[in-house]
Amino acid sequence: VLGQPNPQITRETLQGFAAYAGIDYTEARLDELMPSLQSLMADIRALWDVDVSNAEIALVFTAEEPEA
Amino acid sequence: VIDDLCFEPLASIAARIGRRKLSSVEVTQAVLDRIGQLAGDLNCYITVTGEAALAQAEALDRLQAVGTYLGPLHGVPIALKDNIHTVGVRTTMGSAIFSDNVPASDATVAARLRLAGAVLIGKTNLYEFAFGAPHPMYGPVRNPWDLDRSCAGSSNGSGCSVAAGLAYSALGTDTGGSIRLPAAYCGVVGVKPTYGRVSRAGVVPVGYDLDHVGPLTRTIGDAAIVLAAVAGRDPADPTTASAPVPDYSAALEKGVRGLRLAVARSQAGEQIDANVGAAVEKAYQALQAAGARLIEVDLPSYSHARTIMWAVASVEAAEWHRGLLRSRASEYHPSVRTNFEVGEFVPAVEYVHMQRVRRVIIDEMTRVMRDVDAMLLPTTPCVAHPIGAQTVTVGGCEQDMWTALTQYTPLANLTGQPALTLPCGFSERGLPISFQILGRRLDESMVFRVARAYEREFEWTLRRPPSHRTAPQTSGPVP
Repeated sequence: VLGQPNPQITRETLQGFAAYAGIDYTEARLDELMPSLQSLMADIRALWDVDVSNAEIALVFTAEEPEA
Repeated sequence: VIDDLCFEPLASIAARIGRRKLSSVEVTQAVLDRIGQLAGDLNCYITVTGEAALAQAEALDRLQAVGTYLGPLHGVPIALKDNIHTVGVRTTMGSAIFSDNVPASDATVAARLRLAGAVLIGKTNLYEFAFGAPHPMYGPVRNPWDLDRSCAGSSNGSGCSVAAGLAYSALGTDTGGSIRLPAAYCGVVGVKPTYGRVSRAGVVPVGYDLDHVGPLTRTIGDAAIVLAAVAGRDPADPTTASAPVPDYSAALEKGVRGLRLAVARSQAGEQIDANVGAAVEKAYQALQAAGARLIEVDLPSYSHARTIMWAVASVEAAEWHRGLLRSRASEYHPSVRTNFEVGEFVPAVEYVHMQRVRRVIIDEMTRVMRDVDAMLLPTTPCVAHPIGAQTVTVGGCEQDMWTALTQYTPLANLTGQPALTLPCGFSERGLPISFQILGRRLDESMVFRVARAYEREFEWTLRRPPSHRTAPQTSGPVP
């Protein structure tokens, strides 16, 4: 929908993300995390098809007077 | 007799204390005795306050003796989920890391309950950091209807303690269903109020824009009393609403005649056990028979709610846990650690997109709620599953347990509207079945009113778990 290829999450990409975040995962920990992250990202990518062209982000600040 | 006292509705106990027919010390001692008998098997408390609770009860009795009565919670033992800070009483968050954590101040809800005269009887067990699984240090909570079954999560100790007569009410927290799921599995009432109705100050966060604090009780009237005590604007929580808190008890008996109730049957991707679906449908029909008009609605974006709740909660929680995950990660339960760690790797652009899809869902629900007074939904697609099960069979299909369990509850976390769960029957195995009532934002009164109309007809809320029952079983009609 957005013209993007279907991105793959590999051990290398996760390792790169982790290094960027300042985390040093063991090989075993990478194996444990991979299925959960792949599953979560697959679910998230299913949301790409939702039309949000008229949708404001749900997190908005209302213009209220501060409490006295 | 002690057990009957422990199962008496909070409102009734409060009235007797108010008339000085019963002392807070008598009530508190009765609950402590029952906790002493049962809490070990059920594992629903992390901390029982014991002598401190009795000292508080004695002080409240003395206060009443000199003419000061604090209201309908005066002298009534209430428990708090152990992610709610309590001054001088350890607050573990279900975590080994915080096993000795003693807060220096109360969460706003804890302070409000104290001011209302409630006796803090203990801190209830929960999933570690209220997200995913119990830490081995504290272990699983056992379901009082079947000790081999789960109480779901994450406010499982709160649901269990109330169902088993070990507290007249307990507060829980709800990010994607964590008040309503254990309430449903344990056959009690659970209320997730409107986002902003109850302060989150002093409550350990999971997802800042998804978390809610609310009561679990055995009756609708009791839930109305407890919510009224903790609700309202709190300067310490800038997300709280300044709208006045109505007298929730006043509208309870107005009935449902003429009300319009939305029913969202068979949404996309939905699976539900036949016996659960049948009991929930009968509850809908009972409300129709009581004079409500059922209106079928469609929620096209409903199926996205679960994904957004899990992902947004993971991302927001990951930020709170960032330091601990780098210094003490091995002290987390592995799956809880995973829930938080994956949140670090969700791209920001996906987070923003999810918050825009969330807006689509909110707009959709706003349109639906404009034409109705409340909405009806199941709470869970199945009855309590065995402790330790990673999958459940729903409608003949084996599913990941959490995927199945969070089918119906995250919607109200995303929209912020109030949602209440109450029992509507029991399975052939004697396990509770429940349904939800969702209201418009800040209209908890309507939710209570509809729930009470159903409760009045079918007294499921008076049933007691079989293994801990001493009085004759009430026999409500089968819906």
